[in-house]
Amino acid sequence: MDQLAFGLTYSIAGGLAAVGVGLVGAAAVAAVGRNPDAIGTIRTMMILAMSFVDALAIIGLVVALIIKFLH
Amino acid sequence: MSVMAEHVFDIGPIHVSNSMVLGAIGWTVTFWLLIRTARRIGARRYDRLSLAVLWAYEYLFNTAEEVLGSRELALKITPIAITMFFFILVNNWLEILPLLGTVTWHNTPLFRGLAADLNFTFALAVVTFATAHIWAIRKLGFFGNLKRYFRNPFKDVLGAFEGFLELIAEFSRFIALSMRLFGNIFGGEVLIAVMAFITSYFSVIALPPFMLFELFIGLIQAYIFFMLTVVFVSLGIAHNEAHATPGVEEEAAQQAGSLAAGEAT
Repeated sequence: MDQLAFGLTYSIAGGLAAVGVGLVGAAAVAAVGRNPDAIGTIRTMMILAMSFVDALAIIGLVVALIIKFLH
Repeated sequence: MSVMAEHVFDIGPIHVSNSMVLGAIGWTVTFWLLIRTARRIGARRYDRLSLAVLWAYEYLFNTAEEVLGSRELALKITPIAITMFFFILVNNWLEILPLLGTVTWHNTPLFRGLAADLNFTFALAVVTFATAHIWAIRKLGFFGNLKRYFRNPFKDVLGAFEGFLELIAEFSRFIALSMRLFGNIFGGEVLIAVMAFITSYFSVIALPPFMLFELFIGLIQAYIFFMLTVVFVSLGIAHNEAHATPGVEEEAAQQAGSLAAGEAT
């Protein structure tokens, strides 16, 4: 049961975060296609937004590790 | 690898944990770096390191000015925000050193990344929120600051509900701010440990790309912490000035609002 909890905690968080990163990346590519001159600003904002999404996946990973090792 | 920092030795009544050992080294390096840069720039003896620090400082200062919307305010808030940036950056980069898990003292590792200890990131979040609220109190007054969260429900039903949501959002931002840094750095440490374990003899080839990735993550996380500190301060201040002078301030408030909305999820 603990193994299942470990797997699900990480896979659900990771999967949904992957959707989020995909949305951010798609929006950034569309924005660059529309306005290629603004690539510098868009890149910074994309990395910022991606790391906000990333953080949730990584918090999921930490919670999963806590389930695995501290239980 | 344990989730909590482990107790190593005592200095008098202080329990020193292994993240504090590396934290002291990181503090020394940061102090040396910034003092050295200030001296070099003051004496006009430029070299690559001090110019790199100066470049980073200018970039961060321009970002803060853009978000806050005024140069005087940026000059007052950047000392704490940019010092935090360099402190977190140096500590995140020290965490990649190969002697981290291998040097032990009575069977516990002597060094551990400072940001991989929840106590440190929690303390940083406390400092950030104290700064934001001190600035909000300075701008709005003590009761004006409270009015952001508590409004009379009989006069303004929707406003009271909005204030309640704002209060919850404040707590969730606080937790997210400390957990984000902790999670990224601790997750990075675990990632490197797992990679070293599964590629046992080939880890010499396999680990360097992951370490480079960790350097990148450390930089990004330090930048995000800086950015969020500035954004939280500007959120407290923008409330007032959006009414007084619409235009530039409103734009800054909108920018800060959209950033915070992405963060509060």
